[in-house]
Amino acid sequence: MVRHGIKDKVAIIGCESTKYGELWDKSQKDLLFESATGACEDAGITKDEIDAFWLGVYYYFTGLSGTLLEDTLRVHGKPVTRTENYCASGMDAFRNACSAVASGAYDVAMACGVEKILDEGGSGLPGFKIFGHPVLPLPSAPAQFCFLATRCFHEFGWTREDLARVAVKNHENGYYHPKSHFKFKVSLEQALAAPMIADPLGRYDCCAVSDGSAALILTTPELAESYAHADDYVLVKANSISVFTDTPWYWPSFEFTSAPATVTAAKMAYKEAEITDPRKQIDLAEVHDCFTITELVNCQDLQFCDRGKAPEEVKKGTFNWDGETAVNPSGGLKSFGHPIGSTGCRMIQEVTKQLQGRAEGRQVPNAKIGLAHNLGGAFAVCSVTVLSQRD
Amino acid sequence: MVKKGIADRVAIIGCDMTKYGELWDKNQYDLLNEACNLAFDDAGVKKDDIDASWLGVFYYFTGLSGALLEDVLRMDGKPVTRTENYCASGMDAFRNASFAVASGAYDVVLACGVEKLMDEGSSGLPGFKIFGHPVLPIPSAPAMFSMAATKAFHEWGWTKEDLARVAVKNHENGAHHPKAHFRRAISIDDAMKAPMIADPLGRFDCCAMSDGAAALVLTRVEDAPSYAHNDDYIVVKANAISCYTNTPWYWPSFDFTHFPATVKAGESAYKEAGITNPREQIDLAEVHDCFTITELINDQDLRFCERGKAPEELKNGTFNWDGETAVNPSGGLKSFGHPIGSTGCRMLTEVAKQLQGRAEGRQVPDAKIGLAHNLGGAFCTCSVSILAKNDVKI
Repeated sequence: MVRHGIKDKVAIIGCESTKYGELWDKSQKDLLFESATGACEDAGITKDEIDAFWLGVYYYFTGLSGTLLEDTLRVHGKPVTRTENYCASGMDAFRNACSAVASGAYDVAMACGVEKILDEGGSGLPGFKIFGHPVLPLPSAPAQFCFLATRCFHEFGWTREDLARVAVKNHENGYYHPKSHFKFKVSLEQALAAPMIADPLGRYDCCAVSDGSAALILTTPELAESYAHADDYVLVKANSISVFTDTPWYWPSFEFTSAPATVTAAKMAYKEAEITDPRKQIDLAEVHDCFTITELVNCQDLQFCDRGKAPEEVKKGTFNWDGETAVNPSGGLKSFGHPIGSTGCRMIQEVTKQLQGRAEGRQVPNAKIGLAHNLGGAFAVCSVTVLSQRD
Repeated sequence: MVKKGIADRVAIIGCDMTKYGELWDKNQYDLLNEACNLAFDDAGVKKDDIDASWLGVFYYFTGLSGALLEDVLRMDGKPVTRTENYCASGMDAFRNASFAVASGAYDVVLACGVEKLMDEGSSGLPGFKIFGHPVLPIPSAPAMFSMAATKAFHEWGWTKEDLARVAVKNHENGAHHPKAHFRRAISIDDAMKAPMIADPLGRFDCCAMSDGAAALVLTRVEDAPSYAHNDDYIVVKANAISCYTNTPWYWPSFDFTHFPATVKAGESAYKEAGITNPREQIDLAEVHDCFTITELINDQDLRFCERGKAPEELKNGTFNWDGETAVNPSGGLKSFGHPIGSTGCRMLTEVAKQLQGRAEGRQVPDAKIGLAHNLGGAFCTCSVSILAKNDVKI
């Protein structure tokens, strides 16, 4: 378990993300270059001032080893680690970079992530045929998450309309974000009338396939005073990762109405960050809305509301950009898509800008403490990061 | 670059490895289960004592994410990170685990690595067709390293016999190691006459395909005396990683007779550990002998001898198990094969056991400071770690 954590030992002094979308004319190197150099500019440093790098990449075809970053930036033999942890790949790169900085091994570190999925030729996330049942076909991501939906419908009486409301909220938020993939608003009727992907998840219940990249620069709070964001660097309060089985369907007690990985990672993060009332204390959260159902389940697992109550809270506006706990004020994966390795870093970057009052067009009022969350694999791996303003 | 590093702050309190070989009846779960539990036993801890884990795995088909380890050990949702860095995947898992412990985030952590190559159906390392030249086929590992050999032959007059001598030394060492894949000594003649794989590298110049796993348990140095190895826990002096371009053949100044990644990682590690004379101070080194030529170049890049001189030193016995700087006293990748994600952890385990005087059958005399080295991809990613006995001041 997290014993002591690294609360208040690491500061984010710069960050950036690329535009997300079907970026046919940009390769993974173009994307990584853009976000990495953008983050350096934001921090007011050159790449040569960075001592070590962490890179989140999920698919082997995006790139292997740290050399993808070396071949992009030319770091002249400095250390680059690639972390892979399903959808938590990017946030785990950030977490390991934080440990290294907190340990004192390096002064300035970069954590970044990228994924290049549009060249793969599939219409959904490419799966790996290696794993899974020896006879049954490997479920697609929508197929896995549709089980959560049907089960919640059964347990809590949720409806397709409850799911659609999440899509409406997130597309509404994403409309105002300069870098989102999708800039359109969706009505409840449109969402309900969309073609079915994996019953009951229709097209607007599923996030899209996208390319993108994001990067962050880290140092200690003491050193943070010497960089561009000396007055408004963001403090890392907690980083947690929780890993459960990759085959929950063989787990008799797995309920499909909650992800144990999120419940555990959240508990660990709240303990490290000393958060006792998440709903009150967390001003905004970028949570993993790979599917609308996932966002609802996340809100419960992250303790933003009671079990079964998430759709009600959405209806009431609790999770709106100006609600009690803004959930996905950026528009989430619904508006950005999910270039897997980059998403965790994009979320951390988003929360950082919100806390710095730089979230043009979608600023959450009085944002002091923020959270970022990813959930990947067969609900197997969860990462939660908590950030706050420096004071 | 490493500014301060983590020298003298992290301790290895337990470690072990599985037997390496063509383990048709064991899958990656069996191998990880075995290595991790052996390491726990060695440390005198239980799996529940582990706060967080790091797992080195290279191929996606061995396993993705930390879930591979969770599905083996069942750690109740504790953190597991998978690191991938070509052949340095396992040592990078160890390096990141070291930072996490040194930072105080966790008390006791696990670093392990595994690879399951034998089910892939290929006779060499499966490659990835995605990368490389748009027209030329992707080179195999022997093909890439054969270029280093031909260049070294040209530059320094090295011969196939020089390469063969590495194979002979390593197989001789491996014959004494209870867990090696290959435990049979060979002669220079055997090596010279072996079928060609990628000229001038013959069968005995190339390491084999293998399965295996290794694991280490780490904690902070001040807490190490509370565990089983309370007198002889091992101290980490340095962990370095260096990444260079994955396409060195497009780099006009790349001379194929030295690998900048090793030079840089070596420098970084020596600086962190305070080593000023590697040849004298390093008692033993497990270096990446994926091919015999690689070991010779590594010896030079790691400054165990001057450039061009490695075969001579080898002939003089400098790198023998009882020589001035024992290189691959375990038998190296030559004897163990290279289940990629596991190799770094295996080497660290080997060095730790040597320093503890537990290297049954192949004990390097007076081993006080040891080094482990991996080099992967197109000579592009290198890891170097330095370990020492806990009463050694550098």
